[in-house]
Amino acid sequence: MGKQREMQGGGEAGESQSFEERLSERLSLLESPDYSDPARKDIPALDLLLLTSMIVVVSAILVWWVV
Amino acid sequence: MTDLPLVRHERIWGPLDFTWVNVGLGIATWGFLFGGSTAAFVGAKEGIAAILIGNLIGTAIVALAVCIPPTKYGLEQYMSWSSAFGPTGARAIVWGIIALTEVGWAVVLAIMFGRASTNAANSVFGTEAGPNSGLVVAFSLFAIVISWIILVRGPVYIKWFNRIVAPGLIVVTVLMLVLIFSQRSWGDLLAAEPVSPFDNHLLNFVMAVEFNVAGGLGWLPIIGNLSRLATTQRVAVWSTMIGCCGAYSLTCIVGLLAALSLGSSDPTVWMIPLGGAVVGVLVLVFIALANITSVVSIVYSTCIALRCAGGEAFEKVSWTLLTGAFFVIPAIVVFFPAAIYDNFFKFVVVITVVSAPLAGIIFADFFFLRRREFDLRGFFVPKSRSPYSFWSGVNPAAFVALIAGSVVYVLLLNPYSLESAGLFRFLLGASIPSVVVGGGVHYLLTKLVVLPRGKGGYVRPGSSAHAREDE
Repeated sequence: MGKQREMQGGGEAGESQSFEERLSERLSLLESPDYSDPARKDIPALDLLLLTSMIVVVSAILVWWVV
Repeated sequence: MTDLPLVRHERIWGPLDFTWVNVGLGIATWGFLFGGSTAAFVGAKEGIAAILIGNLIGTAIVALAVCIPPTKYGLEQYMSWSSAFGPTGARAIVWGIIALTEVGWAVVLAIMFGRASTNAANSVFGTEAGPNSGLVVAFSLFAIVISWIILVRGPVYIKWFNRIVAPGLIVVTVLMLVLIFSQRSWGDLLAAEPVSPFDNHLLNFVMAVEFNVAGGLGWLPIIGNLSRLATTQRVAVWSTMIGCCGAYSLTCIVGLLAALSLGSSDPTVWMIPLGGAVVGVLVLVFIALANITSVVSIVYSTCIALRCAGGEAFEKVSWTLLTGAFFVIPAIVVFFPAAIYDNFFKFVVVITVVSAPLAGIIFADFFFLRRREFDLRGFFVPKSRSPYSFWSGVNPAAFVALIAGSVVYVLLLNPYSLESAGLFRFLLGASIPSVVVGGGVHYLLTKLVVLPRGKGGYVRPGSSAHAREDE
């Protein structure tokens, strides 16, 4: 989207270059094997199962309550 | 900061803070109106069931489809949609659908603030300002100004604002429930008839569920950018369920019971007679603040999206100017409160015609086609080198899926006349089939058309196929 710009090694002046440098540094950090972020860990399958089960069970109970 | 993918220390919302953010978002007066709309079709028992079932389903879909990708990669929400629609396609959705939708929501919430404040002023000062009076307009504009001031200070101030308001809103909502039961017994509430039901009992119940699924899906445009600031995916999903489903459902139930028992879902009408001048006014103040927190969260998320989607022209625009410009249209429209407020229901359903298949497409793309992995750098390189470029930045398959899902919705439920097809009641409404069709068509077209043509980067990063694509 709006931030897709050509990654240049250098030469541009002003804010454009500053953003490119920041983006390059940021991506290098995020792609580093040493980078650790709990947000990257996929939500466990158990949570997905729990969520789905909760919806099904609660819905069934409520329909039974209504009927 | 908003254009760059977030790093660990920039995620400011842990489980408690993000839960409070979502509670502050969820407890808003439009929940009372949703509950009141539910009372049009079903009584107390069926209404409570429909509210909980609908919001569980709708919010879960949004929590999984829209919260997880931005949380995992720290990406701006609409930028992450480039993986399904292409960067230009995602931009079209932001400008063509999301921006207009959120302007509408800001108008609705500001007018609700205006009417709540006007009713409070009428009770306290003995004035008789009507629902469309100049006083309503003035209060609505005040809500816009206050929201703008809070927004300018950024997400940290949103966090502190919600730490104060959110707990109070829970107390207020419970208090409102207590006041209702102080006037009516549970037996009285069970015996109350719905306002204007259809003849078919099953149709009424499914319609009520459908309204509330639509309510849950209504979080789609905003919750992703808020989730981006959550510390983990588990926090993002469960905090969203607690706030946007749990707390929000409570407000809907209060509105349902109020509409059934007291003739109005608008607490500003009955709160002061029920609670007295002091308690009533305090409650109304908190209700008004609830709308402020919602406006702030909505506009924050949308303005981030507009900045990212706007390209270089928007990079130079200050956050103050951008958020201020967003409020220009709402500031004009609030001068015509009846035009929006009296068509609130139609506004919500029309939104769902698009948001339902949109959620299905995003979910199918991330979970089944991308297998929950993005090429992060691919979102920031030029289209010529991006795996998400598709055809000149647009994935036609995703738009075909969007149209297909929208057509299914309209065929099942006409959003203007509320006429429903026979299958409506057996397919659990129109939103769920629309989600399934949108996601299913996207999946099939990707497998059959997009992937064989080597478009969209639908290979796992690091695989040999991905390496060949980079060469």
